Amino acid sequence: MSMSEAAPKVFEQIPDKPPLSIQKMIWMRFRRHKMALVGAVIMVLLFVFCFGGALFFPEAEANRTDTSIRLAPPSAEHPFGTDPIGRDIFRRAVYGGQISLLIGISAAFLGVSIGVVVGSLAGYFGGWLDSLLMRITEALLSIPRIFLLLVLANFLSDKFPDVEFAGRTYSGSVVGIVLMIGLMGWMGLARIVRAEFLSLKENDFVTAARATGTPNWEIILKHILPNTIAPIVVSATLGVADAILGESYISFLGMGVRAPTATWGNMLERSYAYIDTAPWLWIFTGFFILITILSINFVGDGIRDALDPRSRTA
Amino acid sequence: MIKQTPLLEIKNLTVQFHTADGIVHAINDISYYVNKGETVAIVGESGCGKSVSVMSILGLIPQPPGEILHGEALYKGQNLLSMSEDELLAFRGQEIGLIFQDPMTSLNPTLTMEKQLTEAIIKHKEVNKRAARQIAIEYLGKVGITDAEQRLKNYPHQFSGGMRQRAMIAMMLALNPMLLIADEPTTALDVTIQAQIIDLAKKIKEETQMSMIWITHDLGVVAELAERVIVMYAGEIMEEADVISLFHSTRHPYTMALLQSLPRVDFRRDTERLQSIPGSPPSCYNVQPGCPFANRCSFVIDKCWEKKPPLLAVAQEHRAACWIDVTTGEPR
Repeated sequence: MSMSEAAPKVFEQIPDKPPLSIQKMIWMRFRRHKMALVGAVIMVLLFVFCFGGALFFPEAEANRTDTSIRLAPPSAEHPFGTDPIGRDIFRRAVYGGQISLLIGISAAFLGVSIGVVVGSLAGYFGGWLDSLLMRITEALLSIPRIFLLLVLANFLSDKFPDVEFAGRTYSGSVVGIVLMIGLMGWMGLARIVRAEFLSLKENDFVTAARATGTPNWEIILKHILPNTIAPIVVSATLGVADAILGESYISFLGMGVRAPTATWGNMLERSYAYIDTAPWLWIFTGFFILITILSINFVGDGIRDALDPRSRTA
Repeated sequence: MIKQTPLLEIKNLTVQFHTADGIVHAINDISYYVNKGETVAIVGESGCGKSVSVMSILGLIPQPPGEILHGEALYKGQNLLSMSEDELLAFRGQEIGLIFQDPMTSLNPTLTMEKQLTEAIIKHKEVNKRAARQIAIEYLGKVGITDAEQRLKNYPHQFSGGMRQRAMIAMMLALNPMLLIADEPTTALDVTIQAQIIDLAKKIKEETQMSMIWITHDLGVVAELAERVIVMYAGEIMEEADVISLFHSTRHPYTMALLQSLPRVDFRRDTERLQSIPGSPPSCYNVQPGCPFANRCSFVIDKCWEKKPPLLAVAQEHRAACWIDVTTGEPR
């Protein structure tokens, strides 16, 4: 009888549980963040409201003016009431929300793209390129954003032709706003990405990649960038909120998206005069902006915690 | 005997680093060569320029602050030091492989092992993804990683330190370089894993015609692996010899001191205390005129302080930089 047969079976064979994939782990951590979950649910509902609502009535209904019912308080027919020229606020909130969310997402996308490119080039190559790019970044950061946006809005908002997209015509000013906010919203991320690159490029795995003959662009894209994904995702999320707020400012001041295209921002534009007399003009729209910004921020917080590599709990 | 053309020949390499505190003289005018199929060990204390001497030939030291003042690194007759970054890309990995000291940091934490291993194979071997995967599995098997197919899906943090180092070695071996440079590959590992890696290196030597430069401060590893040894101190070569001569007819006081500080189980008596080398290596900021080892040397004479001893042949294929003949204790 051989040894192995005689040996008592002490250890139960426990089947290997497959290790948690990164995605599962991130989801588990995100789920623990209750406010982030609530925020995510609200975001989904907002998207359903804005994009689903559009299935029930055309944009023309949201833009139809009827001065006979101007400044009507909320009723069954007009759940959010009507504005000073008799447009239905509920319907405008649906279509305005679309534009606001689209502006938020595309401006954030633009800003993040520029920020990532500038930050990684500056951080990876250093030297004069770094100095040049960072001086530009600092120069832009030193100008108060709201002034810059207003000045740009003044010059740019009517310079773009109207665009057809997905069967709808958008005022050219939407493109202008996206460009302005995107072009002015990349500096913070560029600095973060640069800092990440500065420290990551000193890692042995970068030298190892170079030692196997990996060209620079591949090191940047494949080896270093994936390590900076956490701050980029967080910044992108918060960037959406920032862009929506930025659009609201500009539109509220009357320099943003031109009527008849509705946004949550320009719906507030004229409500200032009726702040006491017709509060439904700003309560509903303001509420939408508020919960959008809040939920996005909560979601961003949750993502930050979920992606934090220093967090050890699974 | 006809002398063969070495695979890699480094001539009069001098490297400096410009720092805020002044110029660091990292490498001062060193020359050495590696023949085809030969394993050369570079030994010396921390900070003596071992790593810089090999990193600089692949263009892997940051410039600035680093600066290669002069010298040549002839690989198959081509000077690597005069090449542009783009030209060097063809040599890195493909011709000259590099293994790093710390396997914990030399793998990218955000990429799967498959991505990291196959990427270089695809590029250098010009094969498709599937073939590259097969090669990766084959080489992981060679370095003793079982279940390689499943393991490829893992991220580096799911590997132990020894496995990571073996995976790094597999990555480099898969590219089939002519010269493998191992920069203290066992220093960060515990002794059992060290033994695994050294056995692996021996096996590679037997099976392939790969040349190796093995950087280490472990003389035990040197005795096991190397055919020739270069002893460095303060950015200079102190002694260069085949491994047997180095251990048995040492010709430099620094090498002697190093050997005395090595615990031996074979001939030293229990009562004998392990020797350490008094003092510490000189600052690399300002180079003194004399021998850099003079202040710690037990053989020191006046001349040592004044003039740097040249690296001269003391026997066939055996060079030492010392004014003293250590076998007699008399000046040469």
